[in-house]
Amino acid sequence: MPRRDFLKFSVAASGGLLIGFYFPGVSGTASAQASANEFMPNAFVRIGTDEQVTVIVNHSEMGQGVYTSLPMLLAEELDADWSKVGFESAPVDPKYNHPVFGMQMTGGSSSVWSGMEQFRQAGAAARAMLIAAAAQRWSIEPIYCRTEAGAVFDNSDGKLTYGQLAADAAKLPPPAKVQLKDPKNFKLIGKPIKRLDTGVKSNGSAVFGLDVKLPGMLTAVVARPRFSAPR
Amino acid sequence: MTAFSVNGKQVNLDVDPSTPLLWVIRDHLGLTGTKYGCGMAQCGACTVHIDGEAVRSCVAPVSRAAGKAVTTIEGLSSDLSHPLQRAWLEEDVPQCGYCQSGQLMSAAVLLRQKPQPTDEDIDQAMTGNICRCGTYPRIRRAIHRAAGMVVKAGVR
Repeated sequence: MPRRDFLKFSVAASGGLLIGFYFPGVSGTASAQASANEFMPNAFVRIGTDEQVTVIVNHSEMGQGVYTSLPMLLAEELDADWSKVGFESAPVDPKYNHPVFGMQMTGGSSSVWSGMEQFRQAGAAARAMLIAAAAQRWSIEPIYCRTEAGAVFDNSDGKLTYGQLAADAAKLPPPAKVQLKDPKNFKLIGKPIKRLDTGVKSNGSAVFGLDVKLPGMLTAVVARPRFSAPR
Repeated sequence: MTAFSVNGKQVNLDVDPSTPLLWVIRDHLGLTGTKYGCGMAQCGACTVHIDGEAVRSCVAPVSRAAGKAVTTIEGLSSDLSHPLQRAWLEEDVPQCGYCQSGQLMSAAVLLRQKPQPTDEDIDQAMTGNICRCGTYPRIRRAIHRAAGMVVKAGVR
């Protein structure tokens, strides 16, 4: 490879690595696809029949806490059970572009304010579909349903968890428009909360840029001379 | 061939004996919890134990581990049950997290040598582990908390 091309290639490659600085618990080939028995109403959340809510985060975690703050935004509108909420790094896809800067990037202290609408909308849309699935099951109007801590309730003693509704909700169309919460009803946003990524950062399992392995990946290093002023 | 144990498992590797232990752990054994920071034993991110002693694996040739027992962050406990890891969770210690494997491995040696360390003991023992996020006050609190757990439960 001509030296000039190599330099160009290196710059592009290191730019890409910077954007994808840190992936949690995945070995490079991140894919935010839903598997069987999972409800994935949009690019930002997956709900499993095991009640697990996985928020797909489109910004790089570098200590600023986006693996906790962005899931909080989504979980707020979803009325998720916070103890069942986890995170995953988004793969590279235009769906995860920064809503203001138009590319998949992290910076400028912009993750929370730019994600505020995006993640809340995603959570509210998922919630509306889970409510629709429950209303269908009970043959009632969705307006008679309410949600709390990962479940839909009717006006009497009916209760269906999000996990129980996931398969049905996956068959429904996403809502055209959703109503976001009045901030005075927030349960998570604005409250101090423990980080979701402390565990993986305390047992060596967190995957940083240095730890990413891709198929066929080669590592280049500079061969430095043992002595100064080499010939 | 260099033979030693890693987290209780015997390994026998055909590597150049001068290869830094860090790269043997990361590249040959696939244990990526141990981090490369400076490569000069100046930052502590690569700290592992050889026969219970804290060693900067980036400058330790693998030959130094021959016939010995190496412990990495993955061997401290994978299920976060070690008192230090529990304390790390309770105090929400890590920020970016890159240095924390090394911090925990150094703290584990400190607690074994001084089960009830003072602030001064902690600062002295942890001085070789740098944290650019500046989590030092939480690290100190977490070590005290872990020391309390060890005394209560009489573990390790």
